[in-house]
Amino acid sequence: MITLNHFLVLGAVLFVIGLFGALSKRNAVAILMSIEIMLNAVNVTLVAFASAILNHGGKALNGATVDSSRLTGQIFAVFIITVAAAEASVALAMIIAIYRRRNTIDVGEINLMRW
Amino acid sequence: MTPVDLVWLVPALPLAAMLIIFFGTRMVEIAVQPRPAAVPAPTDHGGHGGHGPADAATTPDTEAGHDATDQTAHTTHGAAAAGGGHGEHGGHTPFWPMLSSIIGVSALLLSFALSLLILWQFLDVNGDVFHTKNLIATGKDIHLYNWFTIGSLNYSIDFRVDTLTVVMLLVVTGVSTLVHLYSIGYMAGDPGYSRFYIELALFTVAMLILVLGANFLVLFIGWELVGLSSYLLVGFWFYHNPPPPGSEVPYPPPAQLKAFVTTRLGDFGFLIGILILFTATGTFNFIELNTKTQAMDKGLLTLAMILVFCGAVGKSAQFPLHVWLPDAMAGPTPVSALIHAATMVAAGVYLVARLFPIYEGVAGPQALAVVGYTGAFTALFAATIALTQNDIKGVLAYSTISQLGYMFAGLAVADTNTVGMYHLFTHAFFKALLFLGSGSVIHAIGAQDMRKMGGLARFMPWTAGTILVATLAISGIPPFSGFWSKDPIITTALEKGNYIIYGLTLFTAFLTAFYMFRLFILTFGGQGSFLGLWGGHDQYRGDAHPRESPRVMTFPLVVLALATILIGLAGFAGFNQGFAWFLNHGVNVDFPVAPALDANTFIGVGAGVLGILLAIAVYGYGLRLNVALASSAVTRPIYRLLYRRYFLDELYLWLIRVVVLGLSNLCALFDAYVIDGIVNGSARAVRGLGNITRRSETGILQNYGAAIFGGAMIILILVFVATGAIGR
Repeated sequence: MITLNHFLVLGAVLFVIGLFGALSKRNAVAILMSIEIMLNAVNVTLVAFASAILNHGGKALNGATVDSSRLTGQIFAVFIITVAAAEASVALAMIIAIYRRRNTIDVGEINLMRW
Repeated sequence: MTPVDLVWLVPALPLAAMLIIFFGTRMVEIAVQPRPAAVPAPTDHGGHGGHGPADAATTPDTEAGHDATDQTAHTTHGAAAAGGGHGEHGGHTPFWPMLSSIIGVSALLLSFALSLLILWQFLDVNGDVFHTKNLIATGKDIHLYNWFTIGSLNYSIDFRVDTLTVVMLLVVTGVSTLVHLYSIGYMAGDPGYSRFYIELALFTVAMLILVLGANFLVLFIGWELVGLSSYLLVGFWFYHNPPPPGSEVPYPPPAQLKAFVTTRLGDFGFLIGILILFTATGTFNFIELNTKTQAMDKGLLTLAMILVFCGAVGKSAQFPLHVWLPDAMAGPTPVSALIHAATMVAAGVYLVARLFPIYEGVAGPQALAVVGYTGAFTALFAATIALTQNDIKGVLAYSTISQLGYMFAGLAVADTNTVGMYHLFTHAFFKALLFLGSGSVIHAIGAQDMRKMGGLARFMPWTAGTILVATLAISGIPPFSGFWSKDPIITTALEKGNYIIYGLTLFTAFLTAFYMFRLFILTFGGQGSFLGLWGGHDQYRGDAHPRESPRVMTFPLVVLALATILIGLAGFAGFNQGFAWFLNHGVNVDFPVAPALDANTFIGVGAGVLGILLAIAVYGYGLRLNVALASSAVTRPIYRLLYRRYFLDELYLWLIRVVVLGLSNLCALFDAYVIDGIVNGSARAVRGLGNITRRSETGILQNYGAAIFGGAMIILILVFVATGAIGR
């Protein structure tokens, strides 16, 4: 049976994969993609917790009563998807702007803020 | 409403006069001043493009006006400065300055009249006239207003009128009135005439506040105001040219600074003394201090009283802080009279007299011993210098220092403050007389070097006659007033068995008579005249055309001479006994103020007579003792030492140059290397640290991201370890 823990492990694995990509990739688009993976890892975790509460009979894991009619986790996930879309559009626009000016999107070379 | 309730008017009247002159007549004087013949305005130069006609006309005109006033000022006094004094015969005073002086004189006259009324009220013991019974015993406290309150401590401006205050009020207002009057003649035509009267009034107000104060707070305000106004007046002719090198005449600007700074040195000790007393007793009030100091630690109290005496040493020009007084001669001579007789140097003696109950009864005997020995030593010390000076005002300055020494010695040896205060009282009159007389001489011949005088008695008999009275008084010859005040000091020292003070004061009496008659003969007499005293044309050594000063100047001299004679004659009728009774709050003291006509008195008078005879022999009959002493190989160094005033000025200059400047340079080095080193070092340390840490700012976003997540990771692990989630 697939329990909450499976979802959490999946979320953690996805998050770490995204983090590794965001920190190690030189290509700005690839970093953007990695960030998307991290965001979605969080979404998985949120939805998993929300459904776990529903399955638990309206009780939180520590036993506190939760209003099960509120789809807090799911709504949060939808918000994150929306924000992620906006973020992706802004980031891509910036990447294009940087590319036009510097003719590269290698983040190793974009270091104007260096000491 | 009795006179004593109106005592605040005594300082308020001169203050009002000062303000009226300052904002009234002086302003009018400046406004109506006729413009000196202006340089023709260059109106015909029409070709100057930018210049409007008004512009061209006014600008050079005002400038020319300033130049011309400056020039007149310099021609009037610049020449006189080289000779060292006031211009010959003075000039004419215009209307508005004259009005200033009339305002000043009348305000002082009213003050003096009020003081006399207060004296009457005090003498009215039974309350027949004023219905204030026995005021003489109680005195009167007058609360003016609360200055400020901190916690339970209330600082108030209080006046206290008791017999000591009344004596001082009479002396200050009396002498000051005469000086104001005299200055009408002496300062005639001076460009700073109104300014002179402003500063003179301020000086008097300051001294009146000083003597009226019921606590240290008010006294100290007056004390510092006196210092300020003496600074202003000593430097009254600040625009004079410096005297030629080697001249005995002081130069006003440094002299005024010297007077101010030297007295500040003493004030430093004074302030510490006051604060010690205040910390220990919690009050500034003199009457409360009398009782509250009894609970104080004896040693601390004695120390505090000696420190308070330091202030008196500075103000009353006692050794070693006497150096400012001879230089204060740079001021106009009426100012010298005021400083020496009533307003400045008397403050120190008054202070000790005011605190006498504490000095005598409460503090350890060391405090009065310091006062007495300082006074007696200064008396002799200054008298020896006075023997050799050639500047007429210089001799008088050292004689004042010497006489102030007598006052302190008198305060120290006697059981009451009467002896010292009585000498202050009589000295005020004859010293004012001496200075005003010397001013009359300086006014007449425009010089103050006695080598350029001689034989002036026939030219100016009134001046000579009155000065002769004062000279006899200061020499302690009966029946003049000085005898009745000086002899008790000498005889009391003997009666109390204080042979050191007795010897010092007795020998000084001899020296005093000698140098005062030296002054008189060098100025007014000469060889070949009657006893060498009353000279004429044959004896005159200068090249001016001396004539008697105007009546407005000789009148104060005559008044002061009459006072000197009358106080002296009243001595036979027991005037001094009455003075002692008055000063001791209406109690007859068993202390014999009147000198008994016994052997000790004859020794004292004999010393004076001996000095006079020696002076007549040397200067009147040409006994060449002075020349022999000044040129002999053995005594010549001593003569030099005295003539150069023990080289104390040079010593102080050396001390300042080497010690003070050396210390300052050390401090400057410390500042440059240590303080600046710390400041610069810390800046350099911050920069170095920044140089290292700024390497972390790589500008690569991923490094920052790694740092953020790495940091979060570390914190997470730490939290887990701390809560025991890991390693359980």
